[in-house]
Amino acid sequence: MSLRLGRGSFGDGEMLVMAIVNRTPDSFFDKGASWADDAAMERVHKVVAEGADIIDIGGVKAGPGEYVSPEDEAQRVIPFIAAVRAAYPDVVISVDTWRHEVGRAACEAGADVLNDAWGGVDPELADVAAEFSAGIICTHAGGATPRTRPHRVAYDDLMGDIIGRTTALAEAALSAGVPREGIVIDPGHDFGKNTWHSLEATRRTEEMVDTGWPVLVSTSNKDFIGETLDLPVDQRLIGSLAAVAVTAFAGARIFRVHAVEETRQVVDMVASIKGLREPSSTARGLA
Amino acid sequence: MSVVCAALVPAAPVLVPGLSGRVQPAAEAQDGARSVLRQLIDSSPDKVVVVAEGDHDGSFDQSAGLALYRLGGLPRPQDGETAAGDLLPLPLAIGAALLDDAGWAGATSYRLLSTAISSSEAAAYGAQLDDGDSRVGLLLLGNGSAKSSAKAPGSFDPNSEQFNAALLAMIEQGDRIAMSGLSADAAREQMSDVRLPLQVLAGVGSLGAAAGVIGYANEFRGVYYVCAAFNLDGSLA
Repeated sequence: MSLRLGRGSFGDGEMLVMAIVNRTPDSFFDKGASWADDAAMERVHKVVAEGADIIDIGGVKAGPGEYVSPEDEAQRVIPFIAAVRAAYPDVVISVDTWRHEVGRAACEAGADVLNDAWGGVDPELADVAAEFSAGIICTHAGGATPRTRPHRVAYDDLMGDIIGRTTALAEAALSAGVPREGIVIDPGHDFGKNTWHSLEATRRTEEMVDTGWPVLVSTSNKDFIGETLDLPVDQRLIGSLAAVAVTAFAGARIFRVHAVEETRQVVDMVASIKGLREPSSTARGLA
Repeated sequence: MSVVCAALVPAAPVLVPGLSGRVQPAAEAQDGARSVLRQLIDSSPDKVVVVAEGDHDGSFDQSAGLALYRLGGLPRPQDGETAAGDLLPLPLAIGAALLDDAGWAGATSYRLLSTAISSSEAAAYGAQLDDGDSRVGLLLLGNGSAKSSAKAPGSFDPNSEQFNAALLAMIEQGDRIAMSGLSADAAREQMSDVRLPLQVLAGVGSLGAAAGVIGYANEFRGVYYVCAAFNLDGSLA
């Protein structure tokens, strides 16, 4: 299935790298590394050069922390989205928000995708995506309240819940007028899930792919990788790349990551293994 | 006879072998839970009644399934092995698994108490358990504040320290008045599910003479655990 994410069009089977750019002082991995405007723009220059297809800009840390009002969130991300749009007229920009008012301002500033990481908490977000012909990411968070951690979460049928909720959000977005090729589903690793759940969601990615909706996975440096390998947050790159490789092979289309260059290589390699991408050079034994 | 011993442990999945991974991050708490459960078993009860808080009332016998697969990491029962209506609610299933791990294989029944019930109703249930013909062991499931550190499920609440200290004191002293007075609002605010189990204990007649023997008291990932045993008939040294 082809993807159309705002101004970005991507062919059937093309795998995309979405670079995380946090406009937060307290996110779990980068801990404010791109909080300052200059540092954030430097990060954008870097990830574009490394092959990012989408820039995902977020203004609120996913975990618990100081309250960030919609106005404060907008102040963190909207001027920056406008600046990125000015610097890169053709790059696909995503905004990581669950709030429709922030989504609207982001689209007005040039965003192409609304990354609804908390799974439909604000149903008006889909209306905004439709109004601007933007893409939307429909994420499974198990009904969790934004910015909460999972506590003894249980699922009678994990994949049934993931697929049921995300495809319902996707259908709702379609009904609201979002173009089908702009709607993506995301199993929401670590959101409303313990490590066992996130591992199972990874292992069963193909079941999401089989729904026919394009699948995004966001596993980069997350706690389920840290707990699985018993590694702190700054040592999870290899585990993150393993998760990208497995989900890419299963058919996921978009990979939301911190390490763009490494992920690009993994995704390209998997695409070639699957026969979806011609190798860069094939002289070995062919001279 | 009556309730001869009570044990309190948190309904924390991380304490269940098979769910906590290779490193066993909560090993000390697991040891603490095992030690108080062994005291419960060593009191030689005729049966164990497992009590936890939940969103509804319910009674279950030991034919009910554990359904721990819902937490991930454990295999789902095959179709027909466990009927859908026979599953223990999660905290009771945790209690059953911990009892099994501690070596209990005797008669067991389970009671889930709705958070809507009052302190006096919970105490009346405790008194009812204490008024039978058999020796009853009581397994109470619940934790203190789940807002006890920056890494807590409910983020950090500075009031958690006072809540946990008061909880530990009432357990150490077997203070039935303090247990009866636990506020439902405060417990809800702290994401604590220990109110009703302790208020059931407060209804047991012999509690007044029994202090809690603490096997473990600390926070783990921001959730305050107390593992304690109450020797209610004086049979244990």
